[in-house]
Amino acid sequence: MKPFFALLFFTIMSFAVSAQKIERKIIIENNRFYYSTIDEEFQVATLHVGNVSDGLKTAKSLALPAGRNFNDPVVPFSWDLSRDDFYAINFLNHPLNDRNEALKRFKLSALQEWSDKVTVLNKIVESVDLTPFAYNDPYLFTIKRSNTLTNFFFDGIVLNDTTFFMAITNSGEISFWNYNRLGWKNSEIQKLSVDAFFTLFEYKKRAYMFLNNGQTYEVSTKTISQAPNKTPGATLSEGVLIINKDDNTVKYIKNSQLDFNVPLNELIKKRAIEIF
Amino acid sequence: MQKIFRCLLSVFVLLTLNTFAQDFTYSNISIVSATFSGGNLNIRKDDGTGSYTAPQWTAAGTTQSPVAYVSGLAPTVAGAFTITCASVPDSVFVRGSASDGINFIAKKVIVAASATTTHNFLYPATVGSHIFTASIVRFFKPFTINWEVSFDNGTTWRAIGATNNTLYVTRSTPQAEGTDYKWYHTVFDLSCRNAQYQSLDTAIISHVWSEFVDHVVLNYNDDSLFYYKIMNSPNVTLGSLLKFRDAECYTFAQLFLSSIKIQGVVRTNDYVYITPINNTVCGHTVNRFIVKDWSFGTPSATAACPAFPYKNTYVTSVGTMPPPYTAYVFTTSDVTDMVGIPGSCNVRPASYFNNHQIAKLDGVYYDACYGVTFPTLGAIKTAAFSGWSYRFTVGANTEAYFSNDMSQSDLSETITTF
Repeated sequence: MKPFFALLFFTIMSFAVSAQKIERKIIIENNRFYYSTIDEEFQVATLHVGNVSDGLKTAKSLALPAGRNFNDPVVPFSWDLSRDDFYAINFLNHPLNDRNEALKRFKLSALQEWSDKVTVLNKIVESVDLTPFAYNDPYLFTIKRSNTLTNFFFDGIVLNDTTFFMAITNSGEISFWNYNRLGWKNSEIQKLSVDAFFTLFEYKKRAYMFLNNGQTYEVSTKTISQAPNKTPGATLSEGVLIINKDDNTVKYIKNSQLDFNVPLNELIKKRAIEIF
Repeated sequence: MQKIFRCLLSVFVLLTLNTFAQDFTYSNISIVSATFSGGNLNIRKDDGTGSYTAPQWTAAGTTQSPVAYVSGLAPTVAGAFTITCASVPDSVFVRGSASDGINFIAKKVIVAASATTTHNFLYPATVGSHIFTASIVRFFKPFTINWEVSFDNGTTWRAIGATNNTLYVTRSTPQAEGTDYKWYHTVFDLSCRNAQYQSLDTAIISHVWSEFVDHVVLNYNDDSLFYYKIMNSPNVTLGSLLKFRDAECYTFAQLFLSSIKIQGVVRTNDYVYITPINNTVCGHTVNRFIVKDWSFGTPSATAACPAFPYKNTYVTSVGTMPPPYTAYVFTTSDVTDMVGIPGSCNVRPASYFNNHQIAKLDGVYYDACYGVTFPTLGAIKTAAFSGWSYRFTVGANTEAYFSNDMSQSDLSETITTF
């Protein structure tokens, strides 16, 4: 079976340097950038890490024990960083992957680069056996209200040192959830029609939701209100957010403007649109 | 005298023409290529390297490309030929007679000038004499076009060979591609091969399903598609099933549904994700089930959990499995995987799961990887399961607890549209 593993390894490696569809966002922290991509064949995520003064293509590719599926409509990989912790909602399709156990947290410093010993198979198995930091109550709640998934989307972010925040939609309803290590608290169910994925981001300890139509909402378990004049004038699927935790800004850049050869800090200056 | 002269002149001309025509009779004519057009459908290669392109038939090709049309259309074909002869006419007539009684009418074509004795001529893109019957699935393997050429304005014809392509005719326009569902070669092949001559939705569904019931699911090339040829198969997409011919349950459900969608059959809420209801037993969530057949030995964990008294331990259920990756490896085991319900091309596939994906059409659950149907969700556990399980990790080891009491949990379903 060695050729099989070699095939997987080289598939991943070739993927790492070629296909670069960024999942949702680029995070900048301590002058380093982080972005994730998904293996289109095996669903497993790669975290790319580099210096903001370098181009995105120079990033080191770290294997993640998490990923997401390719079901229609696509829900991009949900991930976030907080200090040395990497958070992920592991929604890859696998017969041993329990969606109720999808919320994963692992140490950034423990991540390894892809190699002949760090394989897709290793990461898939690791991902399904990894103990969740919380049970996925938002998902269970949502499918209990309706087990028919229509316009089903979700995202989760670290809101502060103690809070993981999630938003989840299905069949024209949305709910917001806070997990504070003791348990979940959720908002009232609200009517909100979305027909494509959305992305959450944190700005000054508040949660915002960027919809695919370009609108931004401030959201919590208590309120949802549109943030006026906070739109890049483009849809979410046309670009990615740049969450800069160093200068506390949130920007947007179109996929067509993403040049992986240009140093990221220069790229942002020239082509990114400021939202916050 | 003038009449005699005219008569002799006529005889001379005819004899000359006959001699000249006989030169053509012994000339060497070859088919170079055949190109289908006129609304033929894009067909993706199973290996993921892109789509088949024109010309679909080439003399140099060791394998020829497939062609697909929607019923109600007639095929359109162009041909390229060469003639090798010391002297060639300015033009010839070409025609084709094809499968299903379709003819490509005779057309006068120009023989191109050449510095050598080999000259090209092209039969232009020509619509076939009749359409593929509307709303009927057809499968031609092969679709043959017998080509003929005439040097005497169509009075006599000489066969110059045949082109053969596999040709699929879908009942209706296929549904648009999605991220998983794509117009792969095997999707066309499996669907049209099984649903040949069918028209009604229900007939198409039942005939496509017949591919799965004997546990031998074949691709376009008659190669087997395996359900867990290796137990740690990472393949969960339709594309990876067709590329590697070995995959998990998701992919067989997708293949079945894709083979329905390719005929333009529309169904919603047809893709079902089943998993235990997540009830809690002995402080743990029941989130595993085992598919028949498992042998339950002497329980060693009755004290820990009377309801789930059977205990297995493992480092990881599949990750450290040694070659040939065809059996579970437990550190300790009260329950043992046995040969049970066969899957596609595999009598002993993986059988320890958190979830399973199947199709649901018109109220019937179709479990494509096992080739079985169920009338209700509740029928699945009774017919197919040996038991339930929960598990947790202690350090590098996993402890799994089992029960063969099927009342200890149940299945839930989440439904989407594939």
